[in-house]
Amino acid sequence: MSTRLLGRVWRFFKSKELAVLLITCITASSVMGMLISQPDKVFTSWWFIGISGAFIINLTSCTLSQVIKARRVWKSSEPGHLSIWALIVIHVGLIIIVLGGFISAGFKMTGYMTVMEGEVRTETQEEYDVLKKAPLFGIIGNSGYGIGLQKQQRILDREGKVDYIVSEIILLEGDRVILKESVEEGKPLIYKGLGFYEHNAGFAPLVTIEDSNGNMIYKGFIFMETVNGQPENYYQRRNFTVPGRNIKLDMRFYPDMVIEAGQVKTQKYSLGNPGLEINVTQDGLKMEKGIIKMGEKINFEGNSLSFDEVRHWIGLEIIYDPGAGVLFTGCLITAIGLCFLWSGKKSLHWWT
Amino acid sequence: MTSIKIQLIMFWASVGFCFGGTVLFISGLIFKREPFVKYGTVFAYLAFIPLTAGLINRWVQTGHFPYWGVYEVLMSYAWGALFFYVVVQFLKPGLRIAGTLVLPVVMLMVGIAVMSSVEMKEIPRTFFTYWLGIHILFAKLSYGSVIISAALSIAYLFKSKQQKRGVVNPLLARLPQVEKIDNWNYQFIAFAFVMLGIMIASGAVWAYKAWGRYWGWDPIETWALISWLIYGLILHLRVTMGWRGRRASWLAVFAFILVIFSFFGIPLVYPSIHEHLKYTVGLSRGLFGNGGQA
Repeated sequence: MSTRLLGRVWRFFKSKELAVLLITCITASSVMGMLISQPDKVFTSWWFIGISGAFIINLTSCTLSQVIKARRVWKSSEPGHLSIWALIVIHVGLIIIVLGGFISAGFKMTGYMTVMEGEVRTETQEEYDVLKKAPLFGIIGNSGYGIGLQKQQRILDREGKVDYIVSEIILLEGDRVILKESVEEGKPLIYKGLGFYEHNAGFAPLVTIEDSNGNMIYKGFIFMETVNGQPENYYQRRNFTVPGRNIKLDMRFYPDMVIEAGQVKTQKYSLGNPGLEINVTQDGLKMEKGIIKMGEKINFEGNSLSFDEVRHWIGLEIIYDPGAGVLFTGCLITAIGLCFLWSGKKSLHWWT
Repeated sequence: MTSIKIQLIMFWASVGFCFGGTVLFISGLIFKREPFVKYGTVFAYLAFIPLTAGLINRWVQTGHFPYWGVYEVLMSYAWGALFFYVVVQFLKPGLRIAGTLVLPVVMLMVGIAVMSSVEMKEIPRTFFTYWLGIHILFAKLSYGSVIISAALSIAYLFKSKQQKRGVVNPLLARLPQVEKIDNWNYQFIAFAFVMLGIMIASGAVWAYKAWGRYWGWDPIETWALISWLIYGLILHLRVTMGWRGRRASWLAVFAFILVIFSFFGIPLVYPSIHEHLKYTVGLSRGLFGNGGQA
């Protein structure tokens, strides 16, 4: 490539007019992304990534051009060079922020795993309930250590609702506990680069279904979903199909069940007097509807359904994001640049 | 007297003073009387006192800085805007006229707030972090500078137009030269740009600590980013293409409308802002493997 052509490319990419055009394009695309029903279609599209890529090249070229200009000012001992360097630092910070965003987009791994009290799941690809792998998953994740929930406690607020949930998580190598830490919303467990964040939590009653001869049809913990309801949250599982049968269960779980004036409700949100409201459907026909306390059973079509135990569970979001640190470093550098900018007498005017 | 009653009295008093101040500012402009503007500023001070007292009372009542729910959020933003105005006009008396925009905006916010639910709600634990404090502080500062910048822009647009006609309202004539107003506007835009940037960055750090993601293209996040980009664009247009004066002022007014929409309009348009996405799979497991079949 000739020097002349290189010069033209350099001038094109370092031009501030291009910067204005690209900022306009990014702004317009973001507005468009917010106006359509699926914003991800815009923000993950090739053209949006292309504009962002062009922006980072432009930003880098502009910054390099500023460095050249700043060196000239420095040599000529003109006043205001601190402000010039401050602007350079700010732009370097912005470049690092955008780079951090790109690294996150390419290398961030996210997974989801539910763990019930007393059970141990392993951090392997197959054990994740949901997994969005990333190029470094084989190095950072898939380590094979065990993840267990030892205990869970619900801390209630003044109104008796759940304020926050504390889950004691253990990590195991074989039978050996290598780490034990409390996890709560906003307080993750970090181990070997992986962050374990509380995503959701709930109750899992143990339901047993037997036929008239006492043969077991089903026995398992059924995870209740927490539903944000008005005036308060509740726990339910709808349309749970008993494996291999045409039996469907609609359940609502009450951690501390009371019946007042014919209304079933929970007195408090921690375990007290657990109860289950069940609707059983077989082959599309309603078979039985009932409310049972722990240890009780209901009968339908010669079968029996009992509720014998309840355990807590936690849904962990497992995240590895190498771009986050880079991005926050960029933020810090930008902030330092801003401090220097305000300390410079010429402030923003040198550039105009 | 209950805390709520005290707050409502304080806030209504503040609304009253803001109303009085607004009438004085507008009258000053219409009847071209300088003393009206001075009295308008006095009313701004008078509005600030009960607003601050009410806010402190709410703080004591709830045990946290008022930032939760429509009542508290609007009230604290109104306080931030009024505080910013009081400080700015104290440091630069020439900017007193900005009260013509600031006071009605504050009056509207406090008015809407007192008519909304005053119920005290429990704050989720993730909101108890100093990062959130930083986030909120810079949001208030950005909001204050955005209002002042818009007020300056409107003043510039009126004054420059009247100058062209050759007849300038005496009050606007008392303002500094249009070039000076334009320069102040530029400084407030730069300040708003920086404050918005810090607000977005601190929000990102907080989200990362709480949920492991610093950015989720959430409507509020994205509209805040769009506002920040617009202010960045105004600054770059000024330094690269010389967009000053009327064009810069129109852009600043547009950016102000956008910021207002980002702060207060988004919750009306998008119902699930800042709500963590839910997974819907992997919710049952049997004791005996194979999906729980015995």
